[in-house]
Amino acid sequence: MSPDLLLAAAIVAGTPILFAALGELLAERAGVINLGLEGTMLVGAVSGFIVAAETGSIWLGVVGSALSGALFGLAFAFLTITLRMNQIVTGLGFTILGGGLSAYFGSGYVGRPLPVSMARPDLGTLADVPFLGVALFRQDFLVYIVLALAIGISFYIYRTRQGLVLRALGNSPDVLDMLGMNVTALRYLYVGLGTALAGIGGAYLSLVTTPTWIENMTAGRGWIALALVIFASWRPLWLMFGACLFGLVEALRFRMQIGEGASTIDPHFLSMLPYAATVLVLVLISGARARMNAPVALGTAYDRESR
Amino acid sequence: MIGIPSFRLEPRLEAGRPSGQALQVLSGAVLAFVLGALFLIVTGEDVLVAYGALLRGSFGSVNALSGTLNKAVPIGLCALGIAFAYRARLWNIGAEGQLYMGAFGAAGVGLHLPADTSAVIALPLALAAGMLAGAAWALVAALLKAYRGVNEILTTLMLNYIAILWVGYLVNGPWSDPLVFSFPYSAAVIPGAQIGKLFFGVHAGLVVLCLMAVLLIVIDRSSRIGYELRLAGDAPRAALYGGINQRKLVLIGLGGAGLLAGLAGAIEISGATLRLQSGLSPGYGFMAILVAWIAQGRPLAILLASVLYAALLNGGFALQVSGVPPAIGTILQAVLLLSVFAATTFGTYRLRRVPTGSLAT
Repeated sequence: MSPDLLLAAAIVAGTPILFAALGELLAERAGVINLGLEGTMLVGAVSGFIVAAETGSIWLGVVGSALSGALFGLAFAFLTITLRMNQIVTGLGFTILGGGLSAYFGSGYVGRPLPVSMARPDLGTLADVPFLGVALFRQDFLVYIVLALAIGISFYIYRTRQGLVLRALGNSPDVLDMLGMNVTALRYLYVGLGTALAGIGGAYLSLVTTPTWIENMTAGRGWIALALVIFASWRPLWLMFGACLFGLVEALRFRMQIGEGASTIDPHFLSMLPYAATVLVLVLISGARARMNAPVALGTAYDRESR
Repeated sequence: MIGIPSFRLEPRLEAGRPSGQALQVLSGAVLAFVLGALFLIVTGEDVLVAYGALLRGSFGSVNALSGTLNKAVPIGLCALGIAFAYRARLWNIGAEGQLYMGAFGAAGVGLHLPADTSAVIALPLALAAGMLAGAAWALVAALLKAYRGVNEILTTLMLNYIAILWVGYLVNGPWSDPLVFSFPYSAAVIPGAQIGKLFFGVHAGLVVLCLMAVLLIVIDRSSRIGYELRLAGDAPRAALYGGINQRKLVLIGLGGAGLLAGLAGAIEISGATLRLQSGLSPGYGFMAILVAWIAQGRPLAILLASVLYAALLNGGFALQVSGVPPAIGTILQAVLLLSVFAATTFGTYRLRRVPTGSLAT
């Protein structure tokens, strides 16, 4: 495959992971670690597919996946923020719950083709630019949306007043509370926004990549997104780089499995690549520097009276 | 708090009595099945048909009951391991992969020993190979955690996928059975490596599960390592000050968890499937995490909870015939954990009405 096609495939493969990772980054910056990301993506994937298949509108599908992802996330927020349940256990429970719910509602849709497909904007002559034209300027709308989101969230976190509040939310919620801000409401907001993005990430798989509904089709991408947030040290622009890297691994694997010049390596080993790469990435960034930017209050429920 | 601004949760000062805790668990379980029933009604399914099928498929006949008990074995063994590691606050999310590696180890012995090897030699060898393979797989994550500080939640999880693919490679490639070439199966393990039945369809793995639960109680109560693990978990600073070797604890905690999950995989091979196959486990290692938490890490409670989860799994198969999507079994598994966990968390707090206008709102 020519390098520009490979890069184009990498960006497509990295898009769902980037959506989910940006969502997780928002929640974690707010101090909530959501291990239910994989389940949230599945809920988004199935609801996006059902809405798109029933209404014939792919954009309604995307909106549906965001809404159901957010709803799922708000249930998680209620248990972890209001009832102050352990975030790790609750998150694992939500991963299994999301798998069950998506299989339940998707049981009538398995293998159905999607009647519509995601549009690509016509970028005119840009699409003909050598090398970058194919990779960057012939993608579908969601790819541009997620790239804009990554840049926008980076700007929001580091350059706006509300972004400063978000950073404080994960580092010293007691200070925000003292200043009269509602820590609980803000955390609900960011968990809800984050899971909406994770829902869209799931829908990207069922609406664009595949496009069909298959049980457990996320295949660990939610967990890879969680690892990417650590890899990126909670910085949105690094997530973009990380998601591209994983997209590249995925594209290479796909490339080596099928088509002319397919590798003689057993496909099982090729399928291990993204998971092995995740472990490798976690090892490479391990050590004191990795956790330098970790939100101080990550994973702890805020209780005013134990301040 | 959102929604109910005139109430707040505050910690109870007194510790809960055991009877009170049992009541919390029970009320959480009742809540789970009520929520499940509501969910079925809202989605237009018949609650009685669904719950009836679940019950029949899990406890309704000798076959159903023995199937449930057999499935409780791998779930319970993995859950004991997860609870063991969590004594030191180590998260083993990798029981599923360790189970697959254990199955790989046991099948490796069971497929390659001479066919007439005596059970006295073959069975212990197969189980030991499974335990070693499971422990070795867990040690990958343990070593990374101990020496590089890598988060074990994510590494153990990623290693699951790799182990499952490894077994998939074996049963489709070098170890595939030449006689059933269209299925991803290996040949059957030699008779000597099979664990045999206790009564009806229940295999002897159940005895192993009970023995391991007792072993964990003994380790907890009267061993140095059990004490050190709990100390490192409950009072990490005291453990550090007391000179406890943290690295050793990480290796032992996760290694022990992998050992038990590997044993679970080995018993699946020698008692249930009798051959290595892909799709060996329907997620035993993940259910075990829920079981360990519902049981709050207590060995005897783990035995009970693993039978309950095995029942939800086994009953789920019966749902397929009744027309209700079998995924309701998975949903109930998750809702059961969340409601029991919510009930027990809630039990450590009390809801206090805050007078309006008070500064504490």
